[in-house]
Amino acid sequence: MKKQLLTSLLCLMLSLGFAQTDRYLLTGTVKEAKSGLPLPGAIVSPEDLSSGTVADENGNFRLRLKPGTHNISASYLGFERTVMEITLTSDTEISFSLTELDMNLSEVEIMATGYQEIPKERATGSFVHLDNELVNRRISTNILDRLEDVTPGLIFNRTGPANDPISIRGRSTIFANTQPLIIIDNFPYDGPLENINPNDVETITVLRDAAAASIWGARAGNGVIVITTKRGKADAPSLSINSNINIFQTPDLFYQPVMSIDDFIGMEELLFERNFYNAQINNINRPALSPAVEALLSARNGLISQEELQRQLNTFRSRDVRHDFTRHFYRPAINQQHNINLSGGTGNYRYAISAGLDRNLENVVGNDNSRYTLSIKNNWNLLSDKLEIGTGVYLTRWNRDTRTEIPRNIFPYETFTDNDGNALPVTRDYSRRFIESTAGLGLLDWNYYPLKEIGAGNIENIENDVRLNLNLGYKIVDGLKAGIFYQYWTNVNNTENLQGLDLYSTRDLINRFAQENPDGTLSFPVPRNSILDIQNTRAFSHSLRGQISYNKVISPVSSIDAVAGWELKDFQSISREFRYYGYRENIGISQPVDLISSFRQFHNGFQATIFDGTRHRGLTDRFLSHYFNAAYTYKNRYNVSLSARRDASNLFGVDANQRAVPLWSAGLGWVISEESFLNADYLPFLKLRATYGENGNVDKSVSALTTATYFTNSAFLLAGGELAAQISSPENRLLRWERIKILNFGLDFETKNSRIRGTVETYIKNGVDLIGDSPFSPSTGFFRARVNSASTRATGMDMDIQSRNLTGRFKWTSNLMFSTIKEEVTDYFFRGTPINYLAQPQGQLFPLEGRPLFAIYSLPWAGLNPDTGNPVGILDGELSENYAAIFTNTSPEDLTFHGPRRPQAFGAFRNTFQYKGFTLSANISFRARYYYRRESVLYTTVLRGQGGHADFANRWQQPGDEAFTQVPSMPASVNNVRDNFYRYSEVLVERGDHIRLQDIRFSYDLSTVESRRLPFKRAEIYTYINNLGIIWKKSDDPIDPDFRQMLPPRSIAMGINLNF
Amino acid sequence: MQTNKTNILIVTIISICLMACQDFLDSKPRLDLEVPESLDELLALLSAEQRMNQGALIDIIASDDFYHTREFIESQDNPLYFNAYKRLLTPDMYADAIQPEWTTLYTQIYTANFCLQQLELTTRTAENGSDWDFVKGFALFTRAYAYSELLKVFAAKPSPQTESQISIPLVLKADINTIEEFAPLGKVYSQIFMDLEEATPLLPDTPGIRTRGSKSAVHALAARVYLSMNEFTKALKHIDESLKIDNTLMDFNTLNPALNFPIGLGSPEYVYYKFSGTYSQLNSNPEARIDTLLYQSYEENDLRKTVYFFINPAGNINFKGQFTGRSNYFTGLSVSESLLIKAECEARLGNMETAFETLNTLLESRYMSGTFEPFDPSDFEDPLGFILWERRKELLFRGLRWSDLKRYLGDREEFFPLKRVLDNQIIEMERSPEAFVFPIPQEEFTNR
Repeated sequence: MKKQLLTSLLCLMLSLGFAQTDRYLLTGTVKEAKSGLPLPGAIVSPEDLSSGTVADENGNFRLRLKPGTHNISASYLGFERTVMEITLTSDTEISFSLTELDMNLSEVEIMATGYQEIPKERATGSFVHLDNELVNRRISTNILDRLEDVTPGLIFNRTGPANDPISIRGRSTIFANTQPLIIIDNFPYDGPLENINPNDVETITVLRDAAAASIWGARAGNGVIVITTKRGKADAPSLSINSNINIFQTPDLFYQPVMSIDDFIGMEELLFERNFYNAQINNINRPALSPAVEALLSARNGLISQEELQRQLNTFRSRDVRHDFTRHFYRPAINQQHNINLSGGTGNYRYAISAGLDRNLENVVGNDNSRYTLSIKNNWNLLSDKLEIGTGVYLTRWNRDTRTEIPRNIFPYETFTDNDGNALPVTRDYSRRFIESTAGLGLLDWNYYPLKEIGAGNIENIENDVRLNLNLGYKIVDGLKAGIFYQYWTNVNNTENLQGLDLYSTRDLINRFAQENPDGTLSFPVPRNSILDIQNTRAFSHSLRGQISYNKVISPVSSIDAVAGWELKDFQSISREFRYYGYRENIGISQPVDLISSFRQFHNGFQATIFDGTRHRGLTDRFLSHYFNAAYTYKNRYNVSLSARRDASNLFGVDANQRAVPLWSAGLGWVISEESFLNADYLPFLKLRATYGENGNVDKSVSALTTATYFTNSAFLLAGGELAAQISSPENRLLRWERIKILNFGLDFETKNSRIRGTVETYIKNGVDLIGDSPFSPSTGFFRARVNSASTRATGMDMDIQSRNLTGRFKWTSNLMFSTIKEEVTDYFFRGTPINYLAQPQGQLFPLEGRPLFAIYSLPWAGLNPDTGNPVGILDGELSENYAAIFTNTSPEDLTFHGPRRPQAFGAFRNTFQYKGFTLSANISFRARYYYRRESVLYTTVLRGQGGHADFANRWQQPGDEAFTQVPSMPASVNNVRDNFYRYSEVLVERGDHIRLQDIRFSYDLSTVESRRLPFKRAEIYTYINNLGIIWKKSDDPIDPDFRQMLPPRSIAMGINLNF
Repeated sequence: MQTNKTNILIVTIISICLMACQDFLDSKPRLDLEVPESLDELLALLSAEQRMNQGALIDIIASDDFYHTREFIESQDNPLYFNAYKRLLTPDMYADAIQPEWTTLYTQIYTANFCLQQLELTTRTAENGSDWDFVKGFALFTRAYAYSELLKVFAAKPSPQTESQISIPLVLKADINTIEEFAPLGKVYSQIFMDLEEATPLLPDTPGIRTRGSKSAVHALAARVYLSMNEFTKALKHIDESLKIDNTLMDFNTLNPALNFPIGLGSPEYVYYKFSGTYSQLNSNPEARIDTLLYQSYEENDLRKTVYFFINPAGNINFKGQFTGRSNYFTGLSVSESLLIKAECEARLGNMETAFETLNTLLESRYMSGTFEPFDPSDFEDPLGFILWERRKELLFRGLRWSDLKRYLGDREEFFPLKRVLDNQIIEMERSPEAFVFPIPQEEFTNR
């Protein structure tokens, strides 16, 4: 197929070669008279309307005209129309300077959809445009971070599953893809977004409604983020350098309130008295016991005296392992970013070259990563301007080194060093008694020394990402243009994890498989050398698009723009994993091991086989689409837009005719301020917009046929190594695409002199045919299955207002973004038990009809029993301590519904002050009308000697305590239902509303300095401080409502930006 | 000229499109995803050991093979576990959890049904004949075994009185949209025997791997089920068929009792491999204690005393006689069970000599070499009682006790009443067949 494709392409190229002309080229720019800034989107045409064009993003236009005299007019909304008479005898260049009609509108914004670029004045859909200044305001390695708190309607989620970090106008799906589609330079980007260097990005456009996004059809359901990279301009070479360093605070391990060491050891003593540890002390698995319990055991067995026991316990009480972690494992993270950009061009040729280096030291000692990026972009206008050729080459390489892993499950009063700073072993997987009993048997050192693990790992990840773009555009006749766009992308990711004998985990594995020979010696089925894990993933995609566009200027104030095209996408990835045992890195030799036989584990005698470590995975994602989009502008004041797209994909097992989904949208725009009846001086621009349409979404994990996933039985099984399969989904003939219907209204306005301008939009989003769980009788073989059965509804408002408060020498600008959203799941069939809705377990979703997908529910709370400190609930209207009955007699609808876990209102308020070269801007963000559940002490963990929350110290201990505490008393024995009742009672539910000072940016522009001694056109030095902290919050809870485990680290960046 | 070029362009684009459309969208989205159709793919479904060879465990928790202290059981937070332990078989005993046995076993039935359906779409030819037969026989055997496990847990002991009682849904098709009604108990039993009968000629005498069905396994299962119905003649007939094929015993003298699990995975006594799930409260937990009297009933030269048990440092007796090499219990079919079925049936049918001969064959492999003195029925006042006690001693933690207790009810009083002692509190189980029926989980009713 590829061969045929190439032949066709070649034919096409040849057919274009015949282009000839008897016309001259008129080029030029349209500029604002006062400021000299370009006016993209201005209409330029001869008076006879024989042809016409629209100025590009740099205000440039090109026209081909017959020789002779023409009256050329340039017009633009809010500017006086200018006519110029020219006589063409050769290719000519002219320049228009349009004078403002005393309305002082702000500069023009161009909205990119990835298919077209539309001036805001002609758009009907919902677009958010982030200009280069806004993109560069924040300092980050990742481009996506730069959208936070500057994009109305877009929120960075801080609760809910990890697979939806951002949402645009809520979440209109349950199990399908949740993330917006990311477009980079006309095509969806298949790689990880951290491969994009933010310095290469010119602008970002976020598409929020159906009219804006429906051109992306079946993948547009979650909104679209269009990233446009920097292009060269046809003028003198310009060089810019941007360099910054960003320093982050060391993580605060004391942030989470936990039980004091005193209480912890006190509990261990109590539990030891109660013989709680007997099951573990005598367990053949040799489970780890804390140092205090071991000491208590030694004392009980008469191995140490009572005085010695007390001495040891007192030593433990004086320690806190978090100090050791902070001292040895953590450091301030430091990110450096350097970038150099060169662009320029002459008449028919433009180029942009950029090279970047990011070097990041992570906050864990020994771990760092570096990113290298290189991009080269070229554009040619050939064949007397009929043919446009664009090429782009983008290379990214990551080197990530992980040498240290943070130790997990360490007892809180361990210490990593002795008084002289020597590394000490700590308890980890096995009891000290067992570890000590193995000394001298010929095993490798089975002790775990956290300090010796620092830097002992060697995980090296190298990622290479290549993107190649080729665009061909050919003007067939005036206004009619054919284009072919092609992108090849590939990403190769290699990880080598060399686990030497320095690592405890390697020694542990070798020891566990050690076999005792009849003569008492040991043999080692896992060789006593390093283990090498290799993982490689190769992914690639081809995207090809053929498109015909038609732009016709019908009158100086009316035009038609249309595109139609066909698109093909083929994404494939294959990933393989291997493991080598007995690897000697100095000679590059590994040893075969017996993966078939089962060996008795040294510590507990269980039979197990050596882990194979081989795995293969493959994905294929294919789309075949047709699209059409047309916009008509009449009298510069009426816009009509229409869009349709049909997507077909390789949905598994779906009949060919059901693989495709037709999606469409329609929009209207009305510039009211152009009407004579609204000739208001104070409101020079007012526009009303309305759109409706459908976007799509797909969940490729479900299938229409009964499908099975294949694997080989684990080697430790009787049928180990045999091919096996299990049914992953039952037959579902009615499988179809998810659809999201969006109705959007928008109002754009601008007051005189652009003092206040803004946009207000409201919308309704209905998700239909969503994939949802439906319950089944388990006797059918499934207790639930995924079918197109759910629907959702979201309504909301997004507002974006800019006000120029002071415009003199001291400038003050305010930007307010404010969004509200109300979401609910309107149809859902699977019903869980109350505990499912209360607990919302990780990795599972339990929506309830009529409620938001992420909601907080609770049980009524009637305080503590004054005699016992037991929590009291309500059962059938009566006070009750029968917790099990409270749970069984409550239906999901009876639970108290507080509200959503995600904010229903959010936004940011940014103020920018300018004086001479100084600019100070501060962003204050806010989130409101949502709830969270505060953590508190759970006696289930306390009574198992695993510690717990610091609320333990505030628990009810004697009658009267109920006056000042709501923390229940400690029960005599583990009582999970009682714990759950307290944990999910209303007393722990809090409002999350808060305001935080997100960041401050301060910069100084050297180019305004009068002396011209400096060798550059523009120079800016800046500093950026992020995550400053909460200014106000509704709840008294001292922990940040959004960051319960760890605060985002404060950071301070300093940088310089030079333009030559 | 202009139109010509436009035409070329359009023709090119359309031709690319048409070329591409052909089978471009037929490729599957994931490498490991496939509609199982071929015989080896169907065999793969039946071979997923972790899923298809897992049997019930809840009946072991409720049986009398071990006990906990009050202290321990009260520190547990899994309602399913402590209710099953206390034998409080009420409809809310599973609390909010999905009942694992019910779901697992019906998933096995679904898979077997799916294979049988797919086989109907595959033509049996001379070439694939033996494979085709094997997959069909294996699927039928799998379905029959799963139903026998379901009945063990969720149904009363079969008898003329209970035969027409409504028991569990009898699902014979893999169709998620059809919900089968609850069938009379007798009908489910007939289905088990029909499936086994149909499977017999299709299966080989022994399978390559003991996770798969065989003639020997079919007969052993049939015998086990007939025994649970007190149909001794039929049970004897089938167990003799199985013993003709599988009769190898493991000499316990070759085992090393010092190991944590002296009997490893792959015992030669397996007829069909099935294992139970695990609970941390039970499997390899030193607090799952064995009754001292039971332990003391093993003679000093009985190797099972050291192979099956050990005394932990706290002085309590723990079990380590899993036939799996890990903490999961072996609950499948084995030669030792076959010999005990034969011994009991012979005894119950009055052939006491043959019964003891069979029993002695088994016990000889369990005793220290050269020390075993064969038992004789004349030594005992109640020779059947001795056989049953030996059955108890051999088949500990093998998932057989619950159905044995069901059939001993009203027959062998020595095993009753069943008690759980929690310090001063003693929970005594009601002595009625209905008391042994685990409730059908709520989710089966709410979603019908």
